[in-house]
Amino acid sequence: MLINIKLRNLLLIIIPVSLLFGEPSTTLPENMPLHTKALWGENGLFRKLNFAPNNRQEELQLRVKMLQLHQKVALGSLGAFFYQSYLGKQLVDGNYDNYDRHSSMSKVVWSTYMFSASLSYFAPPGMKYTKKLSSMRIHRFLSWVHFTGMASIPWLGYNISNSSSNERSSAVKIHQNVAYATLITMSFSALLSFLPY
Amino acid sequence: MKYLLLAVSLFSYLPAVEYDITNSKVTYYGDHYLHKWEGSTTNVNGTVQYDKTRNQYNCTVVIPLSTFSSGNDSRDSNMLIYCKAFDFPSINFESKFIYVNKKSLEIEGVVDFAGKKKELKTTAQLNVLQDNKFSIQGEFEIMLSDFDIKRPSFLFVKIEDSILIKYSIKGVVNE
Repeated sequence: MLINIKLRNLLLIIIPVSLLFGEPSTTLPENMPLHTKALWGENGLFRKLNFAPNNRQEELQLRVKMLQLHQKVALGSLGAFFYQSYLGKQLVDGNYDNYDRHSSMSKVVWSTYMFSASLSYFAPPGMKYTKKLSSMRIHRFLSWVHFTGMASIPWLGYNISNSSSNERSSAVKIHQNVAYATLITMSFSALLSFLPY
Repeated sequence: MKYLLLAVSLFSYLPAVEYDITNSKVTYYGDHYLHKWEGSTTNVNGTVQYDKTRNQYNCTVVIPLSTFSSGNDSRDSNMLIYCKAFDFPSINFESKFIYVNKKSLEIEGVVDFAGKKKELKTTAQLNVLQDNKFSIQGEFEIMLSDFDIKRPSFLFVKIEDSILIKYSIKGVVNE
């Protein structure tokens, strides 16, 4: 009985000490991506503008919500982008019936994409960022590729309508190739998020 | 008073062995219709006490949630929020009853996870049991809903409620 009491007292000391060491870190991770550091670092923009939540726990809750919404909006944007590519291919093949739809869909695809991207880029930092290669690291890297593509597509489309008849086919080709490259990297990026690692 | 002190000191020298848990590993297995994944930790702390006079074992295990790694940083961060790790940073297990068979152990106790306590029964395979060390391994399932844990969703579908836990616990005698 006395032994049990002694052991129990010992455990009463051990358990709180281990809890102290096991608590999730309330400090920011060291190797967060550069853009996240600029926005959410100790002197980050969102902290200076007082946009940041009160503590790390609330930041991580906000992060979960933003990334959950990012997934859903990105999926919708990707679906719309596939349809937009189909419409674009019809225009290239000489069928202009869907010219107006291609034009209006471009606004839907672009705005949903940018909304989804901002949810991801502006999300508060996670708990840790390892240097190991993982599907999420490749996902993040590819995001810069398709973001650049998506940012330039409207300008490349505008170039088609402003190009002379001599330059038109090359302007169409560039627009089409950039759009396809963006669609492929975005699809691959989405597929990567289905992987377990 | 003298006799009381003498009795206390005599009792404190009664045969009892304490093992420190070391080199142990706990892995959870999650399931979603798109993929399965696992996360593990080797940060398993605690002690096992053996009372020789009563031939009785007791154990306490403490695992900090923040030490689980699934190979996906984003998922690990989200897991801490869903498992309320800021309010309840560790998973704790305290045994109520351990019955040692020849090659297995029947373990009953209480697991304290995400602020909820639940009775747990598991049968562990006994790999090594010597005077100075032990090694066991086993598995059991928990339901996230039993611990009031909101299940995260991926592409509109929630992960499975059932989580398989596999453990390999080793200990060396504390001298």
